[in-house]
Amino acid sequence: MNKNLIVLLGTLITTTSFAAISPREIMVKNEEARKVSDFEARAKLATGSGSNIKTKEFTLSRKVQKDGIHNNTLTRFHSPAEVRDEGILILENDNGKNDVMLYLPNFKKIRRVESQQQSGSFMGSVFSYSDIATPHVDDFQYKTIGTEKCPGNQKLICTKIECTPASNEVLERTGYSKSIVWTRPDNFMIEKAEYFQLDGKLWKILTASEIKEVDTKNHKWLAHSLSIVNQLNQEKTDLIFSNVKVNTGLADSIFTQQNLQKVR
Amino acid sequence: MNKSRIRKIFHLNLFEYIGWRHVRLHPGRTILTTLGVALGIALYVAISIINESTKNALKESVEAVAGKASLTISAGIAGFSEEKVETIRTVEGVKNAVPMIEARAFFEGAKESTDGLYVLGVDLLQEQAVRTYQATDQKIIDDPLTFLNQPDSIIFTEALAKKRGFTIDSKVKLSTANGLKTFTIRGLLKPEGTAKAYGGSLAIMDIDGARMMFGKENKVDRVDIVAQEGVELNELSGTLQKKLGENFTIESPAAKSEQTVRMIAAYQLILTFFSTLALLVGLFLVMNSISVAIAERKKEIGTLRALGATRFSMVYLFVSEIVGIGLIGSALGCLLGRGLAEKLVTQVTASVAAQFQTRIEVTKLQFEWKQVLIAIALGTVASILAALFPALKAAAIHPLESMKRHAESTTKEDETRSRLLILFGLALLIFNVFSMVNEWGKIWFGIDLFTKIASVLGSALFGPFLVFILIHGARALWKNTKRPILKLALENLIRSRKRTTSNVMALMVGLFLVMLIATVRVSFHDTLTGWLNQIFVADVMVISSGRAIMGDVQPMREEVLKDVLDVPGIKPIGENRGAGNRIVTFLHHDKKMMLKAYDHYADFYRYQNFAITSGDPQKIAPQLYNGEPNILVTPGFLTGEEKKVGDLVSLSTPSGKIDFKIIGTVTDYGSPQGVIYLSRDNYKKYWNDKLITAFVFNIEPGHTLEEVRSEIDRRIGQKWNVVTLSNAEFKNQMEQAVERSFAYTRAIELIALLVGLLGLLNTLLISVLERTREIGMLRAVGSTRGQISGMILLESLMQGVFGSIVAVLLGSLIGKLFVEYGLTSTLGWIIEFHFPKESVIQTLITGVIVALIAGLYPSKRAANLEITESLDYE
Repeated sequence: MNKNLIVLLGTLITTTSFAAISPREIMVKNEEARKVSDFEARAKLATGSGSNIKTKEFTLSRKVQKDGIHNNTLTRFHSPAEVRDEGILILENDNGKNDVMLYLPNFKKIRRVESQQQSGSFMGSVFSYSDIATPHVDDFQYKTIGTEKCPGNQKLICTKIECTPASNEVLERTGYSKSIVWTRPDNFMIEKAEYFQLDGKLWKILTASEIKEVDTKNHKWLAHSLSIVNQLNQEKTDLIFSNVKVNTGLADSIFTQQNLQKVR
Repeated sequence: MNKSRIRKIFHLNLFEYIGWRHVRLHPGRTILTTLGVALGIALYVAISIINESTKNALKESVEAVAGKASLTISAGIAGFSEEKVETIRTVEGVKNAVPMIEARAFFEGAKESTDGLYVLGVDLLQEQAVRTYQATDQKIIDDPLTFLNQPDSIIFTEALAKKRGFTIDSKVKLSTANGLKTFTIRGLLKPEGTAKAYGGSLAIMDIDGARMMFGKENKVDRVDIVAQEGVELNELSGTLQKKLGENFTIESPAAKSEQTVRMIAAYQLILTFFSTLALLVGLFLVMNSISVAIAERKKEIGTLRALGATRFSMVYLFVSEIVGIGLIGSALGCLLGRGLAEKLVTQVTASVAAQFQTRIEVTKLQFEWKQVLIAIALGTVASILAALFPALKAAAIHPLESMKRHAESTTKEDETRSRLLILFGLALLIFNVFSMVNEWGKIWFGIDLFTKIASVLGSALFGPFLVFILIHGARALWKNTKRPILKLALENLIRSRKRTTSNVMALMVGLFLVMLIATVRVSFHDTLTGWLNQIFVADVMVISSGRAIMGDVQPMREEVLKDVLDVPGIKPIGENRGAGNRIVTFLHHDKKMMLKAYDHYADFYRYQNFAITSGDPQKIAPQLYNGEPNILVTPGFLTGEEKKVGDLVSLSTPSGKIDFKIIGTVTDYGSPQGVIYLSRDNYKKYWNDKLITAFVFNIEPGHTLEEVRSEIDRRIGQKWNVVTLSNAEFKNQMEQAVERSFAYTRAIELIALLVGLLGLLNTLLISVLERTREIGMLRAVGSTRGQISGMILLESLMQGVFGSIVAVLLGSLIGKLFVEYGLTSTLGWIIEFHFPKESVIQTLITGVIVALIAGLYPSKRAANLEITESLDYE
C-alpha cells in the first residue's frame, strides 16, 4: 500500500466518522475542547498594515461560571502608556446579552458598553467585543455545508458549518448574519471562520493557528495565534497569546467591578 | 369665423403691432420698469430663501442631533444629575436612554460667533443605539481605548477640520471652563447624520471628557430615549414625566424642532414685511411707468378708440405689455434674489441667532422650483394689478378728448379724481395710525397686512399733496426772485400737477421706505445702547472667549474670581467679594427665556445694574438677596404669563418646581420672550450650577485700565483663557452687534433707493418727451440750451428736496408707530422711538443726489432738442 493510499484511507475514515455526527454535536465538542475552568495569558494585539501597526499588550483572564457554560473575562491593558490600566470585564449571560464594562483610569470610572455597541470594534481592532467573548453552542443554529482540506493542515479534512444566530439578542450582539467555521476532525478546534454582514456580504475572515493542547490531562486546546482580516478594507489584527496558564484556580473576585477598578 | 375668434385675433394683432412695437421703441423705459419689478422681487425672493433655509437648518440640526430618539429629556441649560439616567433606564418601555452633554467652545482668540463650535459630549459606548456617525475613514475612532481614556480626545466634522486646516492627530486649542485647553483630533466625521447639525460646526467628545472640560461633572444636559417597539409614546412620555417630575421637559424631536421654528416666526414676519415693502416700491414703478406711457400715448389711444377698439381692448393692450415685463422682471428677480440671499444669509441668521440664543448655520440655501414659480406668479400678478389702475384710466379716455392738441392739460374730472386720491391716501394713513395704536392686527392677520400696505399706499397717495404745499411755499418765498429759470421751474411743477405727482411719488416711496427702516434701526440701536449705558457701570469685565454681548461665551469656574482678585488694581467688591453673573437660556412654557443671576454687589453699584421700572430700585433690588426665592422679570414675561408684580410664578429647576415671587419689573433686552433676574445664590441653590458667565470689576484709584488689563493677561490670561474688556469696549461690541443685526436692512434701503431712482428717471424722461413742444417754444423765444438744461435739473432737484422732506416726515411718523406698537406686539420688546437725526440728513442728501442723477440725462436730452423739430412734435 503506497503512501498516497494510506493518506486517502485515513481521510476517508476520518470523514466518514466525522460525517456521522450532526453539526451541533461537532460544535458541542468544539466548546468542550476549548473549555478550561480558568485560564490566564499575556496577549499582544497588533492592528494595522505595513509600517502603521499599533500594538497593545494586555493580560487576559477567563473563568467558567458556575453554570459550566458561560465565562467571565477580564482584560487588563499594560501598554501603550495611554491605555495602561484600562480594563474590560465581560460577564456572559444566558439571555444572549453580555454585560461589558470598561474601566477608564483617567476618569476613575466604569462605563457600560451597550449591546448594540458590542458588535463594534474591540479597541480599534478588527475583532469585535463579541469575537473576544466566547461563542456558545446554544447561541446559534448549525448546518453542515460541506468538507474541505483544513487551512492549517492540508492532511486533515475540516467540516464547514454554517452558524446562524439563534435569537435577535445574539444577532444584535454579534452583528453577523451568519458565520461559516472550519472545524478540525481531530480536536474539533476551529481553524478558520468567515463572518458575514447583515446584508450577507463577507466581512471578516479569521484564521487560527498554533493550536496547542494546554491541558493534556483533560485534552483542552487553545489557538495561540489568531489572525483576522476585514475584507472590506483589508485591515488586519493579530492576537497572540503567551505565558498561557490554565486551571490555576482564579478567584471569582477577579471578575467583579470592584476588581476592575483596582489598579496595581 | 365666430366673434370670440375675431376678438382673439384682434387682440393679438393689437399687442403685436402696437403694444410690442411700443415696448421695442422704448427699450430704456422697458428696461427700467423690468428692473423695478426685478429689484422688488429680488428682495422678496432673497428673504423668502433665507427664511426657508433658516427654518430648514434649525429643523435639520434638531433632528440630526436627536438621531433615532423617540423622545428627548432635558431640564434647562444647567442640566441635571447623571444619576437620573439610571432612573430613566428603569422606566418600562424605554429601550435605550443615551445621555449627552451640550457645550459651546471657542477657538483660541475667538471674537466672533463663527469662531465657536458646538461640542456634543456623548457616551460613545452607547451612541449606536440612537445616533449614527460616518467616519471619513472606515472607523470613526482609530483607537477607542486611547480616545476614551484621554480627556483631550475630540472628533471634528470633516467640514470644520477642512475649514480650519486640521487633520487627524492635529492639536486644537479650545476655550473651556478650565481655561484654554489643547485637544487632539482623533477622528473625522463625514457630513451625514449628526455631523450635519449646526452646519457642521460641531465636534464630538466622549461624555466624561466633555464633563471634565466644560465644568459639567456628574451632569447630563439631555437624555435621548429610544422606545421599545409598540410602546405608545404619549404614554411613555407621561410615565417619564411622573417619574422625573415637572421640571423636566420631555418632548419628541419633531415637537422640539417645530417649537424652535415657531420661536423665530415673528422675526421672520418682520423680514417678510420689509421685503414686501420693497416689492410694493417696485410696483409703484410699474404703475408709474404705465401711467406715463398712457399720458404719452393718449393720442394713439384716441386713434385706436376712434377706429373701433373697445375699452376692454385698451386694458388688454396695456396689461399684455406689462405681463411680459412682469414675467421677465420676476424671473430676473429670482436670479438676483438667489445672489442676494447668498450675500445676506450670514448677517440675517447671525441676527436671528443672537436674538433667540439659537445656533443657526445655514450651509445650503433652500431655493426650489415652487419658490421660483410663486415669485414669478407674485411679480407678474402684482405687476398686472399695478398696471390695471392706469390701464382702466386709459380705457376711460374719450376718443375726442384724446385728439385735442393739449390733451395733457388737467381737466376738472382729473382734479376731482386727484383730490379723491389724496383723501383716500389720508384715510389710509389715519386707518394705519388707529390700527397700529389699537393693535387691530392682532384680531386677524389680514388686518395686520392691510395696515402695513396702508402705510405705504397712504404715504404714496398723500405725500405728493404735502409736496405741493411745499412747492407753493417755495413759490411764495421766491416770488420776487430775479432768476427766471427758478420761477419757471416752480411754475412748471405746479402747472403740471399730474406729472409732478408721478415724479414725486416714484422718488418718495423709495425714500419713505429708507426713512422707515432707519427709524426702526435707530430706535433699536438707541434703546439698547441707552439701556446698556444705564446698567453697565463697571470699569472692566472679565470673560472667556466668545461674544460677551450675547452671553455666548465659555463659562468659567468660580476659582477664576480668586485669581482675578489677586491682581493689583482690582477693587474687591460685593459680599463674598463676588462679582460674577451667570446668564443662561431657560425654557419656560415652551418659550425660550433668559435667566440672569447676579452676585450681590450692592455697595459697589447701588443696584444700578438693574433697570427696575416698577419702583425704587434701592428698595426693590435688595429683596433679591434676602434669601427668599424672589425674582425680577421683564414686562414681556408678565404679559406672556398673565401675571403681575407680587404674584408667584412656578419655575422648573433641576431641584424641582419652585414658586418664585415676582418683586418687580426690569428692562432687559436679553430675550424678547422674557428675562428673569435672580440672585446667583438662589441660582446656585436651585439650578445647581456654579459656573460664571462674566465677572465685572472696578479699578482702584491710582491704577489704569491698561495696567490692570496687562496684569490680568500676564497672570491668568493663559491659565483661564480670559480676556478683559473695558466699559467702552463692551459697549462698542454692543453697538457693532446692533449694527450687524440690521446690516441686511441696508440692502433693502439700497433697493428702495434704486427703485426710487429708476422711477424718477423714468418719469423725468417722459416729462421731457411730453414737453418737447413747450421746450421748443422756450428755445424759440430765446432760451439757451444751458437754461433749458438748468430748468429741467432744477425741477428734478426741487422734486428731490421736497419729496425727501415729505418722505422724512411720513417715514419717521409711520416708523414711530411701527416701533412703538408694531414691534412691541410682534417681538415682545418695548422699544422706544428715537428720531433718526443722522438718517434725516442722509435721506435728504440721498434724495437730492438721486434727483440730480435722474435729472441729468433728461436735462441733457431736453437741451439738445432742435427748435424746428420740437415745434413740429406731436
